[in-house]
Amino acid sequence: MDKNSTSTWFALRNPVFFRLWLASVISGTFVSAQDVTATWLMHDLGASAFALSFMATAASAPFFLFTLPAGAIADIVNRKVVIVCAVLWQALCSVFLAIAAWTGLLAIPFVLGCIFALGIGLAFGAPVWGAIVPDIVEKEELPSAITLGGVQLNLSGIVGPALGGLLLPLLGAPLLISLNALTFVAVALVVLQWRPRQTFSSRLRENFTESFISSLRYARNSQRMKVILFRNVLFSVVISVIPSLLPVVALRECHASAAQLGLVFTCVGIGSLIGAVVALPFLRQRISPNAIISIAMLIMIVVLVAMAFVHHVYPLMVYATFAGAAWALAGSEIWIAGQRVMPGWVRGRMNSFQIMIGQGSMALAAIVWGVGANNLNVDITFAAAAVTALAALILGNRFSINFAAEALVEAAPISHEHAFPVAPDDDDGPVTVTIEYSILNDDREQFRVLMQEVQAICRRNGAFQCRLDESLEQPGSFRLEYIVSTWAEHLRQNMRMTIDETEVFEKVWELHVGDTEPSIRHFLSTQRFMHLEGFGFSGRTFVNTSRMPKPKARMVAATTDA
Amino acid sequence: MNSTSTWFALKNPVFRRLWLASVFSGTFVSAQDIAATWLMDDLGASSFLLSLMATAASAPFFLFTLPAGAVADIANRRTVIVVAVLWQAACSALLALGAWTRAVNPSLVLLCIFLLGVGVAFYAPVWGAIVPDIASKDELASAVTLGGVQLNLSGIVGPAFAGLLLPLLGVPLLISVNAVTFVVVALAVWQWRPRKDELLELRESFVESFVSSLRYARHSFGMRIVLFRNVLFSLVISIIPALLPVIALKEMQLSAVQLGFVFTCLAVGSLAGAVFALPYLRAHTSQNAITSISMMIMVCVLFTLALLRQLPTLMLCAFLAGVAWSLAGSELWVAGQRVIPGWVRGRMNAFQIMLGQGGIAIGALIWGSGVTHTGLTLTFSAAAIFALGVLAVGHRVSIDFAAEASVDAAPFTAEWNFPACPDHDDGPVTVTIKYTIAKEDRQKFYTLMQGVQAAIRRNGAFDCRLDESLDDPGQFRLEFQLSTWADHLRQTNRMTVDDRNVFNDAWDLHNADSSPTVHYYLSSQKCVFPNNFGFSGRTFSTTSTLPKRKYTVRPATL
Repeated sequence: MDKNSTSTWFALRNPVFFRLWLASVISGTFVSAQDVTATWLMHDLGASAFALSFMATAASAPFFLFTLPAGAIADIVNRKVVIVCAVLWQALCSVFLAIAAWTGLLAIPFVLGCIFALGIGLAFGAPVWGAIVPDIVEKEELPSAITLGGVQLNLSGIVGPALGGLLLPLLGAPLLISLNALTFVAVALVVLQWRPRQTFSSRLRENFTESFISSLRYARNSQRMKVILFRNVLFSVVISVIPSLLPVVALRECHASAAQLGLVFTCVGIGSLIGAVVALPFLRQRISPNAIISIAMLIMIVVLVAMAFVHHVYPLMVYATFAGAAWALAGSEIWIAGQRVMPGWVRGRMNSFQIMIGQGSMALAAIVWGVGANNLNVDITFAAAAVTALAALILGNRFSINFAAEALVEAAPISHEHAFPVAPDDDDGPVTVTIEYSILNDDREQFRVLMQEVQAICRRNGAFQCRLDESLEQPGSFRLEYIVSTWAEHLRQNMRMTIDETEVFEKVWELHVGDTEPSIRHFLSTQRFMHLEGFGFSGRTFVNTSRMPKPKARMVAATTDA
Repeated sequence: MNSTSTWFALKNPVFRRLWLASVFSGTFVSAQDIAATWLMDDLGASSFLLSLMATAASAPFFLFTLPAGAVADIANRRTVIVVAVLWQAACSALLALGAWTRAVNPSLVLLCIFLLGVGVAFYAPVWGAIVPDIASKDELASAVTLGGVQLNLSGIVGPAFAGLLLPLLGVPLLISVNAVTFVVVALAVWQWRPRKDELLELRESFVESFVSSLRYARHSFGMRIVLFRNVLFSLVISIIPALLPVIALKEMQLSAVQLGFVFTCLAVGSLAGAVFALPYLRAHTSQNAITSISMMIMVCVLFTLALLRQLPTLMLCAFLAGVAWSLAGSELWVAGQRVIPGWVRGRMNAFQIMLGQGGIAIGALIWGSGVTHTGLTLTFSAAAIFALGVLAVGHRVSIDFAAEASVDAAPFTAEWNFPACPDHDDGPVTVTIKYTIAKEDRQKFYTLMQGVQAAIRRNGAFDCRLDESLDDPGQFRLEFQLSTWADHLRQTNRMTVDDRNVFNDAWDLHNADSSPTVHYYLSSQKCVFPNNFGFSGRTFSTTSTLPKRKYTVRPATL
């Protein structure tokens, strides 16, 4: 095994990661394999074409329904527990399916239900798995570990069906499904052995709604995240041509047999393995991530054009191999870029965004390509896909993801001591924070540019409002004001700061002129004491002594430690 | 003439001319409605088309009253009135022409009714808004009453008047007379020279005007009480116009002439209420007591109608209902006029009219379906019990505060010594006021600040917060935001005597050597373009977006 740190396999030297990764590969692959098996079962049961097409819906619907909530849960509860629960849930579903298959009690709705339930487990497991990787591995192992994580996610979907196709004739559906159930249990045992590091104190843990809202706020106010999600959409739209049109080309244009179709899909799998294992380490040493994606897109353009003219199954296999390689290259690089720009606290949620947006655009694009091939013409559809890939290539140059390589998203909590006479409670709020800067006229432009980023930082880490005002009495005196919903949210906001974000704040700090530092003030809203009468009956003002401020007898020195 | 007399304001010649014009105009519109109904019947319209008449007449109120209010507060009010009246004249002339030449059909009549309604919808809130500009301070109470009386009376007298004239003159002539009346009214209004108001440069746009009316209604306690009472009153009173014809025609089989008598009783009652009862009661009890008395009368009337149905009883009940109508209607309208400051008067009158009309329409629907499903006795009993409930609520939600409201403009005249004055459309503008408050004053301060925050919001701020410093407890910071600098100037101009008093009380609680510090900020939002899609993660810089105001120094003026 190559011990070079750019090697794809480098992180596997870490025993914990090795075990977990292997478990995850096996689990992912078997789920895909089982999908094939289930399709076969359905076919065996005499399902209609509609019921068969419904399979795909049953398998992918949980992703749309549960990935975002799963991400929100991943970031607030013990991630190990989530993974174990998700895997055991999948084991349970497989056992059900296996029992039914052995006893011959299968029915079509039952199979669909099991597929759906399995999908739920997968939807909960996927973002969490992505989120725990950086907790397990050492710093220098991280790029490799992330690649392996991305590779796993892509490979499972490619290798699984091939495996299913190979094993199904040998073992038969019931045995294969039973094996799958066993695999899940083994994975759960492996994960149980892992001892995660302690994260956030439970005092400051968000509840589910807060967690969900902060994920939306983060995605909305992080430019990097938005670029990556956009690139994900572009990539998914282009790559979705392969799974949706490959069978059409193979069966209709090349008149391939069922076995040959299986071979074509195996070629995609082999191509993606070659891409991840051979091409990726080589390219990564020499060129930037964005260039790797561009190469993948170039390959896709060539493949798509070639497919428009293919009439024989063997060249098709070659193209399929290249498409698989492109898939692995671009898919891994985009996934890695995402992992690199996500800070730990929101990783589960942002992974679920990535997965959902990727899956969503793939599903939508597949419909478009499918309709195009059906109603227009396969050649025209491929030409359109090639043009889309060209557009994606050009846009990809404009919206480069190379910034991800330099991103430093390790937590760098701000730990200034709050020396308040009376500490606010965690749920007191809204809390307003103001920072006053004095800026020279010459620095105005630079300040303006930096403050855009500062405002985005304040917002994505927890503020629901953030404004920059300039004093009318004293031009050049700027006031940044942001409002967070509770004091706990402010403490979390401080803890969420990353190295990059701290740097931006420091740069702004340096632009400040004056003898003293920029003054920071904290305010607590008095909204709690303001009870504007609902309907203002009789116009009298309303004094209710039970609404008097809580006696703050305890004089606590508040600190950010948590 | 005594100043509590209903007629006191008529000694003012301008007001007298305008009021008479307005009474004529209102009455003729109502009369014409009857004439139009007649015309429709004459043309052989179906009963569906006949019932559409009411819709055509009232729909413009729902559609145009609020925009009309917004227009009334930003355009020259005289122009609005003259245009609205001439518009009505044109509609009447069209209808009259059609009637003379027998070229009308039911749809044309409906269209004319609708267009006339548009004129009324624009006219009504503006007329309400100009009254306090015309009458002197001691005439105001009477003038406002007369305004309210006019609004109520036109609707009551008009139909009776039409019933009398229609057989004598015939439809075409009546409508032509009406058209001429409108022109006369327009001439009367044209002679009035209104005072100059607000600076032109600070005038709101239509959208701003509309938004500030919503903001005002939302943050003015007084206004909300008056509007709430208006809705309750309309729901109760709506049973009279809705069910009187049903009792008279369906239950008692009266003739058309007898029905006319019943309606005349209603009109006579309302006149008696306005002219005799109101001045007497006003001199002896509070406003809220007058509305309570009116509700009591309504309770009695409704119980009586639930039990007794003879012609004399019915006529007496109609008379009493008329009295109650004009008593409560006028008092609620007067209370509204007293709590509405001049700058928003057109719009708030529009709210009052719209909610009042809405209450009557919905009430009529409820009572009407009540009769169809449960019968007259049950419906009237239910209405009586509802009126009792309204009486109780009215006691709790009193409108007596209106008598003490001082809504005369008392503009703040802060002097700003800014190095560079912001342009009118610069914004959002943030203003902060810092107070130091002693511990024992805290509760009092909170109470006062509720009033301060409401005043700030209703006069133009879209956000207003009171925060306490965590670093320095006892230091409070009031912060409010306005969308433009012009909004802030308008806000300071809109402050009323009452608003100013609350501010001063809060100011007095400030517990330090210097006075509370006020700071002004202008948002940098205009020059900070958030990088919308964050293309390529690069930050975006062009020098052309530098703030323009920075280098032009103009004196800061109000």
